[in-house]
Amino acid sequence: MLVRRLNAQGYLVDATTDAAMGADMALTAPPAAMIADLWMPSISGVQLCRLLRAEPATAEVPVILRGEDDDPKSRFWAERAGATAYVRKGRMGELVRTLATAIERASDNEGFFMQLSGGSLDIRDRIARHLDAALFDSVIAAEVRALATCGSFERLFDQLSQLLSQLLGYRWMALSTTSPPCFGVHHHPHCDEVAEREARAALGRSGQTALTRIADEDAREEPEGPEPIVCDVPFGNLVLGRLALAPVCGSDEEAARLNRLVARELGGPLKMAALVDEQQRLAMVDPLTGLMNRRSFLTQMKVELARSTRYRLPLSVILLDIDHFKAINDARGHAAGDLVLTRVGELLRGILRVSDVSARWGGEEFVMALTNTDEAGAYIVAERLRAALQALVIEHEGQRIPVTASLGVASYEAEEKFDPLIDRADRAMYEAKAHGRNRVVVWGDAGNVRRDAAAATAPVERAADEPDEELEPGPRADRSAARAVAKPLHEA
Amino acid sequence: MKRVLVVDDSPTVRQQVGTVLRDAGFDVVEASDGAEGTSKVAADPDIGMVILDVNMPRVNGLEMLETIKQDSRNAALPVVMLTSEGQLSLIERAKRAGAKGWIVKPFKAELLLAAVRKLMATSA
Repeated sequence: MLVRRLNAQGYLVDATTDAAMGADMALTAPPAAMIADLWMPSISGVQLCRLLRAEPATAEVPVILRGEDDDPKSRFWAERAGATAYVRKGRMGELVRTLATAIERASDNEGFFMQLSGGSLDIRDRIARHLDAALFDSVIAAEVRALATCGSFERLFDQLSQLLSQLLGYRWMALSTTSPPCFGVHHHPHCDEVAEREARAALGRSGQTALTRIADEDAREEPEGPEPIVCDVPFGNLVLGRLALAPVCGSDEEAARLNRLVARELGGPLKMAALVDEQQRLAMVDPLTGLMNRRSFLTQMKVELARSTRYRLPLSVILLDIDHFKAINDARGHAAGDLVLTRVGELLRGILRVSDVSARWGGEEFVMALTNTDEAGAYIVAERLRAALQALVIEHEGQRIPVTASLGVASYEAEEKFDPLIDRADRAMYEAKAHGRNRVVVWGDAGNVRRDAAAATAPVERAADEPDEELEPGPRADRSAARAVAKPLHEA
Repeated sequence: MKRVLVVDDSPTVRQQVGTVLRDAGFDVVEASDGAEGTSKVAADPDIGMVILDVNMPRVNGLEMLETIKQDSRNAALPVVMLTSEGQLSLIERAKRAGAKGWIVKPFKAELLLAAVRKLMATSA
């Protein structure tokens, strides 16, 4: 009945009740349009549509799918399958109109026809192959999107290179972004110059841009090959960057497909990495220990030095460096190393007063500024810290990690800037390292180093917590975090 | 004129296509590579259609297509590629160069004939 109606409209119609036959007919001699039922016994209209879309001969042929009712799900799937239109069964008029529009809109091939290898491969096999390809693509897409957990461009690029080199052999692969400007190249160790040069040229990156380089044998060592393929990485309406692949001979079509697929999905993860990078730069807190980070500590120190000068109050600095930290990492693993750092951070917060400032200074270094504390008082605090750390039981995977530290103490001299102060504490700390570790060294007057042991002068009262005087508003991130359980230093 | 030029480096293919076309009443001439094919097109104005293989020595089918189409006298000459290649990029290239169709081997005789008839008719 449909055929008669269409004939009456002037269409030449081939019809079949077998979907596989229909697909074969369409592929062998592509029609001007195809009409199929959405749900059929053996092969659904959706699969048929996807198959036709995937084959070059029929990719442009409009497909109209007919369904039983106006179920939104059916419409959804019809659209995703690439159908040109979805029409309800029984709506003859609508069907005819839709057909006419679709044929008119279809790209005019100017009579170019194709007869591709129809019939040589079972339709079901072809559908299965195309479904597999679609599944494969969506798996790759998901893996690329999962790169969003990489917190930095470097890490993202590293993992991307591992993923892509498993999917395709290439001479080199490069990724560049505009803001922030990043540039990464993955190549074989023997091809560094060539790869870098070609990548820079392909992506328009001058010699000045800093390079994240990954050189390993996952990239192929082939000096020449087809032109590199470059794709934009979109994110909404923006272009975040570009992805380039230099394929090996014979794989350029596959490389182009893969490049397009990956570039499409890379926007989200790249944006994430940029945001996390930026956030970490702006953060004031060291994520691992919860102490202030170096940057915010320095900002706070300006305030403290100003206050010390203004009110002529003593100020001392302790620099603490964990002994043999690298060995702990190597022997027990990075998780153990991180645990140690966390525990040391906790210890610091427990011992220091609210008015003291403590921060993570470097990989295994901590710094403390003790307000209203002179050298002698600082020495006592440092010694307490040293002893407490030595006694601290840190257990990782059932085994204790014994930890000690070397500490350097220095006191503020009026009007000086922070650098000389921390420098003296640093040198004192190095003395401690040089003389056996697990000790406190104080940098005394005129460069004399006063070692530990009994040479402490008469105990100096260290003022208990006083209400903080605000010299000027400043970041107090660590103060709120500090536990105010400051035991008095001297049981007088 | 009902003369068809068949260009293919395989004598078997030339014979197969030739037979199909001759049985249908067409006059058939042959060439074994793109260079020979190009000269035949230039020398014989009675050639009304070209069936062209892609992979041939010396000058391949796509190169021949592009060469003959550069001559404005051949603008209306229908050319159909008959080849075992199926790569989309090659098909696009042929389309852009002015070919009228692309058939992947092995071909079906009825379909080839239908294409030849249709194209000869429209260009006549």
